Amino acid sequence: MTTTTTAVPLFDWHTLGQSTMTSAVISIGVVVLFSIAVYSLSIFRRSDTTVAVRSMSAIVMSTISLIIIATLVWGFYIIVNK
Amino acid sequence: MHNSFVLVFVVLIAIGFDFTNGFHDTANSVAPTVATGALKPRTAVLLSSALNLVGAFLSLKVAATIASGIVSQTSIIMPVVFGGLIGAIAWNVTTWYFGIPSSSSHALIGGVIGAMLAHAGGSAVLWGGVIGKVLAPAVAAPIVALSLAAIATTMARRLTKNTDSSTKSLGMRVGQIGSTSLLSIAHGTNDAQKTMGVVTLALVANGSLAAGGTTPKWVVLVCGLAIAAGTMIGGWRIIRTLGQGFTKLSPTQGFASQMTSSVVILTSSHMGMPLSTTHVATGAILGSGVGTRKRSVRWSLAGRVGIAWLVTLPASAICGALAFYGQRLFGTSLGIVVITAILVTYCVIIFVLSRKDKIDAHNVNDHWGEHGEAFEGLPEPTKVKV
Repeated sequence: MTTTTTAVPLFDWHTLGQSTMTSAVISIGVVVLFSIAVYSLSIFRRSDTTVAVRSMSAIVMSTISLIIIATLVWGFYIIVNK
Repeated sequence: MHNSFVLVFVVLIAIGFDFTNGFHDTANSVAPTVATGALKPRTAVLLSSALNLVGAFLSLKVAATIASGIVSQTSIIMPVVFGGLIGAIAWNVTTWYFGIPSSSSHALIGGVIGAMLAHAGGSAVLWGGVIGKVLAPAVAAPIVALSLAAIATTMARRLTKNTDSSTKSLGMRVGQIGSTSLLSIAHGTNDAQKTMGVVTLALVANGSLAAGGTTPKWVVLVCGLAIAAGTMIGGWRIIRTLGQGFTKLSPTQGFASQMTSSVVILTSSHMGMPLSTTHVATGAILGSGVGTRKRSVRWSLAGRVGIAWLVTLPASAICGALAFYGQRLFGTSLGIVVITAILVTYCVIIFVLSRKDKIDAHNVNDHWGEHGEAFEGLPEPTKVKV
């Protein structure tokens, strides 16, 4: 009977909470940003919009795409470095 | 020589489990993409397979958890690892036949616990670890994924309310290709590690690796290849359940559910919490149904799948314990060969039975109920506008 007993906390609320909050912010954030980008694309593709509006839509789309890509690259960077 | 034979056999069985894990869990990554037609079924499966392999190399935190957090490493012997794997494969193959998206991770953990109970009794199982690292996340994961996916779907739906349907469909399908890729990487990094953890356990049990030692590189490579090969086969029966069974998925729902799943899995994997990708993906798909205007979800099917989740741990534990006792009956080396032969026979029978109503890339998107699914006869969800 030389079984080792490790002191394992029954329920790690801290990690669960941290994981949930991080997931919530990133997943909802990415979906919201992407939806705005799709809406901007829709405006960009309309033939009845002015050049200024189309330009603004293109800027919004590009910015959001960069933010999403940067978020994902940053996430992978953290995971790989762990 | 004796130990080497057993070790090689156990490692091969572990690779076999990893393969079943791949085809059983293909659905988690690709079901919404296949259901909405964002990618052709074969293309989706091939993409997922390649990215599962990439994901296997990203992190080893979950592998460390599996190897050290569930059963006492000092009590592990090779037959325990073997019994656990046999229990997990048997349960995976059974649930695949019925198209049930159950957790391969829980099947594996249950199998190891059952074999360990048969070998050394309850004192060798780290119950605190089982509750804290397996059961609690198992309850939390689908609830969190469902809630986040419901919120994400609702917000996406409202934000794109005034978007023309062709742009919306195009944009969300592109988003789905991105999110299915991310989810495949997440699955590779989360699930391949579990088998890596088991192979590490086997090496420890054989004395080839010190307790608490790091997972060798060859283990990472072999497990990554096995899960990728399994994914490439495509578990079409479960893809069908996830993609067609719970709700009628639109590209918006598919994108929201897949993005939520991948973020939840990658975050938990990063924090060393071994979540079931199946529970997360199923929860997120249900959430995407809840997030629609009419909340169209087949809750009766969800309830039955929930019951299967509850049964997974004890059922695979029983299989694991039986495999352990069976193997002891014949002696370790002969026992391993006999039990493996029984398992292979069982797998062949299941495969032959599955051919009677074959589900593949050509008919995976058929109307729900056309193929005599285990949960047929349920009401159709209300049609949701894309």
